[in-house]
Amino acid sequence: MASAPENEKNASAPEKKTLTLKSMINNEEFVVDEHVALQSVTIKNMVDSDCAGDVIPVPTISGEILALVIEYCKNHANPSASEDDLKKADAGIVAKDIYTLIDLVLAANFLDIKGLLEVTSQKIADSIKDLPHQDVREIFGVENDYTPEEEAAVRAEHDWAFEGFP
Amino acid sequence: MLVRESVLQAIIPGLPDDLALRCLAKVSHGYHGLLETVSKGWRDLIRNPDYTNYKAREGWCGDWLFVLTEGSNNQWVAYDPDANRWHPLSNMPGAYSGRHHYGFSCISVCNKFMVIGGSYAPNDSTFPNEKPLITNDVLQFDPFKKQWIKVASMRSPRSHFACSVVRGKVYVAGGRSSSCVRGLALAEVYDPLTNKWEDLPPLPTPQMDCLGLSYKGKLHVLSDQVGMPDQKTSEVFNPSDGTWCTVDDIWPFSRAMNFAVQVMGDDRVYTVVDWGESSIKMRDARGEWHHVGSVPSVVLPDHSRQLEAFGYGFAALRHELYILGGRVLKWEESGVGRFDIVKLCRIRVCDPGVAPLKWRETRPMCCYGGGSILGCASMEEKSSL
Repeated sequence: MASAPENEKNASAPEKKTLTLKSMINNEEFVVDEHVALQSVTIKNMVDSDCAGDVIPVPTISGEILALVIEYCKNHANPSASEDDLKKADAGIVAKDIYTLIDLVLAANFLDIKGLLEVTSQKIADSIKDLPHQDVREIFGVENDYTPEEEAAVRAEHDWAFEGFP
Repeated sequence: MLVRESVLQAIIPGLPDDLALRCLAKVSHGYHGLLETVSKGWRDLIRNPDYTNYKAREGWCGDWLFVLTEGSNNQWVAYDPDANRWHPLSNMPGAYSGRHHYGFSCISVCNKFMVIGGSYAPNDSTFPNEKPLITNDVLQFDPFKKQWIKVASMRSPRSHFACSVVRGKVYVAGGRSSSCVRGLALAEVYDPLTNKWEDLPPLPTPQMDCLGLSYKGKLHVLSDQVGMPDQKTSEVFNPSDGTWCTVDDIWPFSRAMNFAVQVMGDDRVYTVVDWGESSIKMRDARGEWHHVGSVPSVVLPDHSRQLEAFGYGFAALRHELYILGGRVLKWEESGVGRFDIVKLCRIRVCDPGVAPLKWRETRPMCCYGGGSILGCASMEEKSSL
């Protein structure tokens, strides 16, 4: 995936400006059309305030996650993509395990990409739905801090929520 | 930022709490019981004002169907179509214990559910001469806080009145009161943004037992006069110029029924016409009525005959029509004419745009045994797109 940063910014064709994003976790680099990358408000602010060098370092986001983020931005920068196409593409991007989703939410939040934050947090919400609470604990690594008596009480209070569950 | 009393662990390990809140805010009300059982941290989050305020700010109320059934002791229940689950609402403030509520109106406006006016009658018949209490109370349920509050009361107590939401305001007209034996002509309007009722010009004639219908930006008042020759006009209030006018009736059906009506997409009116069969009729944009199908009869597991339900609720939610609960008469097979009344909990749903109607059943109503529906209304989350 990693492509060498060619000094394309000084190339003669001005219509295809690109930026290079570099994951600081594993030093992977991605050359991206500028209009694609600018969907990230964070990157846009850096570019607008001339803080962006030839290579934009992206801390705390791995190359694997950055590739997904760029895929999302590319899809949404395509003016000929229909709403249906985008929905399908988004669904593909978020069809990941919970750990990847959590990393994606963090990346979308850090890079300030509203649409991506929206679809990833919705996906996390959807993955909770219709799971027994024991499974939710296990999947998210949430510690059960109820005593057995407290849990029985809160469960009794929400009896209706457990219909059809063991 | 989220303030938590005990910082023991992250709500979702690996996510800052504000992002975890964002994710959990997208889970609709029907799942909240499960979420609260996960851990104390999750329970505290779901009950935290940060959570409810966040949802309110984003307008993420979810979709609701509110239902009050007979014999429920004024305990409303709610359905979440997303979760396919029912749950009871919290208790109403100042509820009249020992009395049942009927003749009220219930509507949703500005992400609030409102129960307006009506009568409270004693549950038991120890004092048969005790009159029902007609109220001007207005109670409002907040789908984010999941709490009731009492809001500004109507100027006039009334029950069995016309009520509908037109362009974000609640209109009420006519009805019964303890002071006017022939019914009320008084009309008023509620603005949910200012929590104030204001008088409107009165109806041209007093109306008892009437029904409000919001149709193309106007309030239609349909009267339901049992035993009277069919009235051929209805009263229409135009909020733009603040006047009533009498128009040729759009309502060709019997007034004697406890009629239920729903408007979908602003110009399609659906009603159930209960003439032996429960026929669902639709009025199209040109004003013509069509039969779109019938409410299916009921088959009980221990009974051979198909039975017609009555007293059911009728509501529209997310482009679908809901037939809620009701009762059936279960005749004894021996033929001596004895029967049992069976209360139904079942919910039947169809998309009225698909012919012939295809019915499905959702999870039945919880908690209070179903039966006749005293009131029902839906609330829909506005799509953010």
